[in-house]
Amino acid sequence: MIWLNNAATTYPKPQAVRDFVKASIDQMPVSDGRSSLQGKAELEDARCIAASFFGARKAGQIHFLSGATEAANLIISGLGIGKPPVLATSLEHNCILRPLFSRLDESQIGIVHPGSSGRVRPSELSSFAGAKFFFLNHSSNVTGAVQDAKGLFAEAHRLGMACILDFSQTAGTFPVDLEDIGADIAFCACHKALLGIPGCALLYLRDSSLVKPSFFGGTGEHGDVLDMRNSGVFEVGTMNQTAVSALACGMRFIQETGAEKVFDSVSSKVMHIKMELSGLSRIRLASPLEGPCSNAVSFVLDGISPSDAAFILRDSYQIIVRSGFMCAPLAMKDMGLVEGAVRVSPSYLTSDSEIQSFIDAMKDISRSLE
Amino acid sequence: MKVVSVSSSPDLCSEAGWYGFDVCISEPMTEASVLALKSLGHLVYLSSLKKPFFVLKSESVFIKGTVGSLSFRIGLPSDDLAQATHYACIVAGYN
Repeated sequence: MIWLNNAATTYPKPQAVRDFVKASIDQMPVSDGRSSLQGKAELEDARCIAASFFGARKAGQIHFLSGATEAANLIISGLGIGKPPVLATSLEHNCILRPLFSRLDESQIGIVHPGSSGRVRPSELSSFAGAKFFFLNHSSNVTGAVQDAKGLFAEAHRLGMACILDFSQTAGTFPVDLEDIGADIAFCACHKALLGIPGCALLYLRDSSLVKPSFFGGTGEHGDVLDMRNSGVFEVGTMNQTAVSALACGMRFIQETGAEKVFDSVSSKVMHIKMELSGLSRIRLASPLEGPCSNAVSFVLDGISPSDAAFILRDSYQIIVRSGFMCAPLAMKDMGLVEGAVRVSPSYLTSDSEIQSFIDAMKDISRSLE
Repeated sequence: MKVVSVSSSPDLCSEAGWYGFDVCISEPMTEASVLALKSLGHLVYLSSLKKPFFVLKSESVFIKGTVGSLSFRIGLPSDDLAQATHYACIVAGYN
């Protein structure tokens, strides 16, 4: 089987990640400071690598959680969002949209839409003056288009909004400097292009007082303090040390390979796929050809549904892609894709021959639809 | 040809809005059995693919698979294993 669903989860992982995870089950358990110094050291090592990787000023601005969905819920419940409206783009993933729409009245949520390039223009934000929080998906998991986060956040700050960035799709595929972008809060999943394993997300808080903790439990420190509402502690309970250390292995792999080399490789594979698909009949790209993009390329076919196309690719060509709404219902609605789309997404470790197999399969399918 | 098994498909996401069922059959699907499905609804048949693909769609069911395969998928608007088995037997009867 050929795995081209790397925007969901990367496969394969680098050898170092695989070796670490296999070995971890045989190691004596460690946890963050409670049962061994080694666990604490590994955790702080991962925190330092992540801080350096994403331009955080201090390692303490990085917190590890169990996943991006937990991070998004923690942020939304901890911001103290009240009456003032919040603003989000229509490109957000359901990990943001569902907590927002489940906690707030629809009238409190402003939605800003991208233009035809798949990108939101900073000037669009002025229509939503009065909003206190702005949620931005750095790169849509459908179109892959990378947003001008720095420009958008500068404008949002000017309008008095706090800025929250979901960089799950750009982390590991595109340079991200959170301090330079001006993110107040940011989060990403770590099992995608950061090459870690599921069970870990990274939360960045420029200032830990921006978000109130909403999960409480053991932390291994100050065990006699019972009221933790103002503690600024977000890592509670038993840490998924294996996933955090696997993330560190993945980020080290990217650093040792050369981040620029990794980003360029992914970008060139994505552009190659787009150029090939755009030349085929009965296929329409839902991802922009122009501008910076992460590793997601979506498209639809005239004559068969996205799920049928994914079925053919898997059953006849042993290629796994993603199809459907991809947890991004508003983005699909923007593009009029009532049955969703097909998404193909390579990673740094996807081989050229695997991409060629996909292109050959798409040529076959395109011809069969003529 | 016999129906060997009918089970709920674990592949929920790709068939949004439908309940998927995977059907295993005792003999490979043939082109004749695919073309016979026309009586049940709108049939798309991509015969020139290396493994010819078919999908039958109506308001109450979809059936899709490839010629030569020992399985196919049924989609229903409700989680109704008995109804899925009913359709599986119809397809098997065509083969």
